[in-house]
Amino acid sequence: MKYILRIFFFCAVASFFFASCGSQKNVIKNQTAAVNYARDHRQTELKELVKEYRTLIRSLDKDEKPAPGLYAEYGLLLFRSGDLKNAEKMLQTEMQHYPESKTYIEAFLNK
Amino acid sequence: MKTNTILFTIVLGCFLFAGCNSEKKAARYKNIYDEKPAVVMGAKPIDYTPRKSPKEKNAKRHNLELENSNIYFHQSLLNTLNTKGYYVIPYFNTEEILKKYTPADSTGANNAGVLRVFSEKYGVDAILFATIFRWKEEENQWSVYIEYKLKSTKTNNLLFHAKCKGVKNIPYNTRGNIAIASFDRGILKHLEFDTRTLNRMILLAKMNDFVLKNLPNGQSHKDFEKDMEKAAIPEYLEFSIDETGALSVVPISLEQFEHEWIIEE
Repeated sequence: MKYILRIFFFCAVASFFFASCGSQKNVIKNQTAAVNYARDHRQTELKELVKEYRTLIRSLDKDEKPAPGLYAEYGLLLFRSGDLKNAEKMLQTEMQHYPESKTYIEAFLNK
Repeated sequence: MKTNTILFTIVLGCFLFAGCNSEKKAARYKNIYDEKPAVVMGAKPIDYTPRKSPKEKNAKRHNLELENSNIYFHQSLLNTLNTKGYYVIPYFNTEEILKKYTPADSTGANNAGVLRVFSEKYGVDAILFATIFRWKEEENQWSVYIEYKLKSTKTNNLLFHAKCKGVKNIPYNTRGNIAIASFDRGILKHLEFDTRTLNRMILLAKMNDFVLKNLPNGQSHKDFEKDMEKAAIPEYLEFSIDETGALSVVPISLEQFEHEWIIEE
């Protein structure tokens, strides 16, 4: 029985991984900077991340839907780097694309 | 040719037979199908793995390795949930929310009523709690014991629960140092960490992928509510990556999970 289940779950795992291929479009690639910035909150990594997000957002096609959270996270990083005007603009853009983000983004904007 | 046909029939038969015995998602994740959470937040994972004291050998390296792996683990949880069609509060925005409010018990074990604030103030429908109980390092094989809990902020119901033991074969190079397997290099092209940390990250990311991808599809997924008849993963399981990169999953008992992480040294 254990062997049978092993076969079944091996097939299931394989199908999960095939199904997930290509689903990471529209997300930042610089995971190293994301981990390092999350750990130490250093300005150098913050700058790197802001640059990465900017490039990613500029690369989107005009009618391409951004990944959920993309503008929200970019907005927050801009806020942390002191660019308040663009930060607000990005957070508003997230709300337009994803109305479900409205409550937490408004809570942040009202802070 | 005939042998292949027989073999294929046996495998297919086993597959169907095993499938019939698996619990369906509709039953296992009833609370999720009922509540239909749309916005999900991931609490900062808790890691009970002991840290080395500054006087111990390689203490700095070891502790940094765990810290980096945990951050990546958290980010990977959120990315995986995102691909399932949930609106996930991004990592750095979560960090902001957690500065102000933290779930009273970060393991999600006992927080009746406390989670409601996340629903009222931030529109969060459910919070994912992840706890790493322990990392176990044996020469060629590393294991990690993790619990996942998704809790409703509105009803405090447990929406999803799994306890998983993850096992990874650790490759060594000709000099006897820990290396990265060739089949793992693709995943790691955007990560520049030492090989020990990377091996941990690979195991954590693959476990997250397997466990969380079994959740019901979220509201923005094209197959929302079309997966109820699919098989749910066992609540207690062992997930292994062998030396060829092949994955296997077997159900384990709660007793085995608890026995290994609490008692065995």
